[in-house]
Amino acid sequence: MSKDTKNQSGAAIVMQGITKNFPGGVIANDAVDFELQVGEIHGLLGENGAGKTTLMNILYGLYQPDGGTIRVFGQPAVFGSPADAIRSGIGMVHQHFRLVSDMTVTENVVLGLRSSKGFLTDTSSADTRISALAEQHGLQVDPKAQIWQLAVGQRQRVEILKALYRDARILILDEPTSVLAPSEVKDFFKSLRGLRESGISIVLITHKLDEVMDVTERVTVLRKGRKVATQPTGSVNQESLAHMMIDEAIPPVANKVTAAAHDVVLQVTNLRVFDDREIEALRGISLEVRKGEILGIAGVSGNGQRELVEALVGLRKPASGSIAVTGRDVTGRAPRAIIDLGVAYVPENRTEDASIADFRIDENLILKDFNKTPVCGMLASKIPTFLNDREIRSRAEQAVAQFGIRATGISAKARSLSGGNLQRLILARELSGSPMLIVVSQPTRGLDVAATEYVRSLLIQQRNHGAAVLLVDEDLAELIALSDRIAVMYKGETVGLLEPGQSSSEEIGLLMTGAKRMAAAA
Amino acid sequence: MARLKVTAKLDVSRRSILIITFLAYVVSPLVVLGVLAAAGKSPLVALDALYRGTIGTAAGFAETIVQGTPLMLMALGLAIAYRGKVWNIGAEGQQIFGAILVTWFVLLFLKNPLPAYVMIPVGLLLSFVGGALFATVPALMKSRLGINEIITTIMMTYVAVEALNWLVRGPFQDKTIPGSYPESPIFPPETALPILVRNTSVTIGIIISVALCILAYYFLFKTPLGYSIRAVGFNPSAARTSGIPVKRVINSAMILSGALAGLGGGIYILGVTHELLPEQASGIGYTAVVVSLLGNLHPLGVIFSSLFFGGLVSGMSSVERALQIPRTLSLLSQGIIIVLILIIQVLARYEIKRA
Repeated sequence: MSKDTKNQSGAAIVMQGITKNFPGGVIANDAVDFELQVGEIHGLLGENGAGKTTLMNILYGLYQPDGGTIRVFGQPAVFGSPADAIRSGIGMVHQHFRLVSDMTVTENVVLGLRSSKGFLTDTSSADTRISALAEQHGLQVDPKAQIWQLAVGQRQRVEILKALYRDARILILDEPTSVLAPSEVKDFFKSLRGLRESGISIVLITHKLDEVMDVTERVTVLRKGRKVATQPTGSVNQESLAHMMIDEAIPPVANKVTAAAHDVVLQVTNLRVFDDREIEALRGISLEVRKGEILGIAGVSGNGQRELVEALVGLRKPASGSIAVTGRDVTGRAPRAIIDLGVAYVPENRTEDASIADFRIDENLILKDFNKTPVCGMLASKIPTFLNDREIRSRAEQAVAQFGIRATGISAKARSLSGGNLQRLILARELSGSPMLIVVSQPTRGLDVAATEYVRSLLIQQRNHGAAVLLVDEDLAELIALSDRIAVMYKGETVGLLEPGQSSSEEIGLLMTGAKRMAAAA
Repeated sequence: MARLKVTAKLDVSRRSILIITFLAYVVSPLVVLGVLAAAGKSPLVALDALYRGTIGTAAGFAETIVQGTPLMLMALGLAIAYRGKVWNIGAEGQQIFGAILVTWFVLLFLKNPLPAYVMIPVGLLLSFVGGALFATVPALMKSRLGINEIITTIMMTYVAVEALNWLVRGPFQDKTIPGSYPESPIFPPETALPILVRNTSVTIGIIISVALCILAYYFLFKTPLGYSIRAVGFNPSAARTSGIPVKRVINSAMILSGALAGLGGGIYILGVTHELLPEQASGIGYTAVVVSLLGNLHPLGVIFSSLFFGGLVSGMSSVERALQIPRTLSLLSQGIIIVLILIIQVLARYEIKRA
């Protein structure tokens, strides 16, 4: 890869001996050294909880280290806040965007900056400069568009433009591809390479090995808060990186027993559903999930998958059509009624929809049956009385042990859990009581390798025990590995239904992008 | 100059919150003594008066309880609502409406009252129901129509205050007194809450209030409905996804908080004033907002914060008399104390370090 455009050489960032302790005895960073060269893309690799984000939050001034030094372009730096880091030319794009959705791109970009017009925002000159920056770096976005109108990929560009507008010479990107569809990732990497060519130094936080191989010059691997190694990407491969990232053997995916034809558990007929903007998101979709099978739903995000899932679990009222679970019509019923029929739901957004950050682990585990025996005492076996603390505690202890939830105890708040442990908690709750139908959305998004394998094996296990699973997943490789059949969604319709053995990623890719449509689909 | 850095603690132990809250309650009145000293008054005399007006004498202590009791129930109701992120600001209107309903009932039996064991329980029950009914309006407006409850509860309070002003000058007015004072007839003795401590105004109201606080603790933390309220308050989206009927929970929290405010108004009228006065609208329902926050929105914390506030009112009026200071200075001091405590309580969740 040509690096002759590097007109400056030397280190953009040198972090030495960075140590950060969190309350509760967690050492997030233990004497970590990190160096970023000018004009390189540097992969920062590690499992969830390895300390990647903590290290970069320290660099960005969000956290103050308990030990260690930072030099930026050779100058010693102490950052009390992101404002200090930004002044030193550092910009960070967080995994969760920090944009105001009712404001325009320009308003978001200039937010917090001094305006040449005093109290008034100088939008016209900002518009011009943003357009120029976007043009220069291949980050096309309409400066006058409001954020809520933009797709996720475009919002990401706005975040990057925000940093560039503040003259960032160093960009920290925290798992930037986790929100992107596979097709968007390619374009995104192209922009990254372009940024590098113009002399921007980039830290790419990720736990995806192929991305590291694809786009970085060097890679630093962290494990459990310590640095394992920094290597030129040319001298490593995916296997050696995986080996550096995790020291424990990954449990193999449980053997998949071929499903026999079984009874239909979920029957969706001609379902039509509108999205939040009153646009028809599902246009007469029909599908069925049988006992003991995983039906995968493939599709580029935004083609109606979310509305389908929400309609199935009772969170969104269908306009027409029907949903039946084991023959019982549940169209338009409330979530409670659907849950009571044995439908489990593992939502895409774990912190927003599936857990309560300020509740303890044990409290989160009873979220769905806190008013049922034996969690709750009953008067005349009908009227709920008091919560049974002993039952709640023993249940939590069992779940923590069985699902390997790593926490300081069952009284730890859910907000203290890492992504993987939170997903384990959610699965522990949803899979208890052997559900008949499990609706799962993006079950391994953002999880580390060990947690990913664990979640996959749990889903297979449930299927082998006879549960029907509806799996919405943008990770195509995972979808193909787990699903018995795959339905492909495009613009609110199923454009293909692939039986076992039929599913190749090329085929699915063509269907997903609308390039092809199967006659039998319906 | 050393730069200080304030960061949120990830986890705050219950013990450290308790200790810091306790310290806040002790330290902030001392600051006020400094204010009085700055105004040229002897802080020692003030301290002595404060002591005698609160826990130093039986009379002071009794007055503390009398002042704190109605606040306790109103603040308790608000604490429950706020746990569910239902921002009821209308405890004032709810307690007034509770008192109005009690008055209506008592006036029906003004000449021939039923025995006390009927008049008092029915009266209190009606105040409870009155507060609940009055809170049902903003509850339904929020859950059915999505109208912000802060606005509706405040507007409803205006309705209650004006209704009160009209009633004491109209249908409820005592026509037997010449000069037409805006007040209802004095209630018959059968309606007066039994006195708990002889020669004081301390009634069984304090027992009812403390008992309800303890019950509310179990309600909030050990029953399914309490759990739902807290779940909805922390994360309505996850609550809804888990099958919790969010709107019904919001209604319950609002109506329950109104009911407790109404009962507070009922205990006030049957225990302290024994007649409906325009002063029933004293702003106590707004004070309860502060008291619920001072109690960390915890039912047991509310017991202490409301008694503390009762002590503040009683103690400061004793200071007023001892130092001959104007009422405004005393109110100013109360304000400083409250702001200090709230600041310390927030800071307890942060740590301050040198950057």
